Amino acid sequence: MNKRLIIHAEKCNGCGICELVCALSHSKQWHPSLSCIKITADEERHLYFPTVCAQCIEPLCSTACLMNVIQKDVETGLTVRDELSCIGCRACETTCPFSGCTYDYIDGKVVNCNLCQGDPVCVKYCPNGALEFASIEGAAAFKRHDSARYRLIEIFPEG
Amino acid sequence: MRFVIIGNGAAGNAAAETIRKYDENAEIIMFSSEAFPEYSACALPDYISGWIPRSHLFLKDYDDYKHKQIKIEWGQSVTEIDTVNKQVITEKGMTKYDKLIIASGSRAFIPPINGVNLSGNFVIKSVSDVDRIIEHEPSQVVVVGSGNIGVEAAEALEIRGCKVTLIELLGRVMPKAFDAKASALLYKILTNNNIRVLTDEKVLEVKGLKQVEELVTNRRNIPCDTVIWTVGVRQNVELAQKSGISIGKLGGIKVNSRMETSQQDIYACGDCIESIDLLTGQPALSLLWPNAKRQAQVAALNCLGKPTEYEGSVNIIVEEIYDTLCVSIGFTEEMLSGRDFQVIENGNERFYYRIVISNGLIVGWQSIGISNGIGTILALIKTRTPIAEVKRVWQNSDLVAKVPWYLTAGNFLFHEFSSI
Repeated sequence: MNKRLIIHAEKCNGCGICELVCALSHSKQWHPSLSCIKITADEERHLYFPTVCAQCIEPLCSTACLMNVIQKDVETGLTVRDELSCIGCRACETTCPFSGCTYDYIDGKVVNCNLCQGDPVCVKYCPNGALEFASIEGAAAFKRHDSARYRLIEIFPEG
Repeated sequence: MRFVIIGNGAAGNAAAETIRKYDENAEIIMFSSEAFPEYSACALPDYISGWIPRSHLFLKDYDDYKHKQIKIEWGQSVTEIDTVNKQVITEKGMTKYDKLIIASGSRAFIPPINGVNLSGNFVIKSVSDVDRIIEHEPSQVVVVGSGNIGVEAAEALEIRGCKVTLIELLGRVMPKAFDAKASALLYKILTNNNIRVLTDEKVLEVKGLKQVEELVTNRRNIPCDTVIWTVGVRQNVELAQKSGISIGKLGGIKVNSRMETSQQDIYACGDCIESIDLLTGQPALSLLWPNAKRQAQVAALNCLGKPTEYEGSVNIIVEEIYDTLCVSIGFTEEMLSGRDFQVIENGNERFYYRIVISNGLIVGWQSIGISNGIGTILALIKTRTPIAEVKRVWQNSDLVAKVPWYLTAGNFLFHEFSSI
């Protein structure tokens, strides 16, 4: 699968619907703190940016994991967790530069975006067009994402 | 090409897996002094507390080694490295190597004082240690040493139902991870959960007839049936040293940035080495699971002829203590004493953080009760991004839209901590 979430942050108004539907979809809870996509907000300046797992090629979370449960899926290229084996130590959550994973305090495990098996609900419900699910090849927005991310992980050039 | 790996821990396995990932045909032989398949030593306290079953500790089963075509010799300690003939020697015989990776790890340390040989004294390093602790049925426990393992052990045993006393020689809990304020918050969390915490206190001896009955400090006698020693580790470097491999000033195996030791075709990684601190460029001991894995990956890549440089280690401590996330990264204020530094701190009893800054760079972070945004601070530390640069971006709405993670970091650095 070569489609990824592309974020058009300038269109985000912080409504938080993406967080609610994400949490509802995978945790059955209407609670934004359980969402895999998170809005970073600066209320004073009315700045709102969704952030989500960057599906890094060499994920830092995988190295940090104290139970070695995080791998890259060979077929989809996504960062996947063996949730049954996760002990909820939160080392990955602490290490991710992009706030890409979330601690599910109900199950005591950390989860990350799995693109809803190819049909992401956040994209479906965003009323502002701030989220797009599209092929990454040639996508200018994705290239911008990538170079932005390199600012935070430049010492891992393969990432 | 035959790769021999001494050690079956985090580093040994990361090295084996990296080699297998890039070379389907490489011959890989591992020597494991224990008879267990790979397990997470970090998860041992979670088993003590009862949060996970024993089987959950293991990251591999015996078949996994076969499936990856890794030949592993169980319960065999390597007694000698013959660098001339390029072979390792165990009691069973000799094994030649083309490349050797030493990942011999470390062992828990117990100070040589009276009474430590009595039944009821334990360390927490191996699955067999924890099996022994549980079999012993601990009830009144003293944990000596409030590093991350000591604090986790204290919590785990209290949750298990024991009466726990945690003793620390220095003046505060987790003194190498936290400065006074953060440490005080952690102290409160522990004591609110019925752990008795004694700081500035020194253990003199353990007393008992045939088993542990009492622990004596410089201030009091503590009746107990179990003593858990979490006062530090010693690196397993004797084998390397005996073989003529250079040992560094801090006591670990000396390696360059490609994890090469002083002997040709011999690499080392994990707890047994002396690494380089990412921030200072100086030799450092940073014995942590993620560091072991990354060093092993670097060693393996270099063994495979793919030159890779190790970027250096950063101290990252992540503890979840009674549902509160306690994190320490890099340098504490105390570690920087004598040098120029500033501290930005904020928060309250439930959410507290402090950022330690030196020469315009973030060099340390401590937090209690915060979970979001720490990764960005860590990334700024590792990439040595000047705070001035973070501010430049953070202040500009258009720029920060492109690197939105700087917003969270900027909020910690420049903003009044108003809402969570």
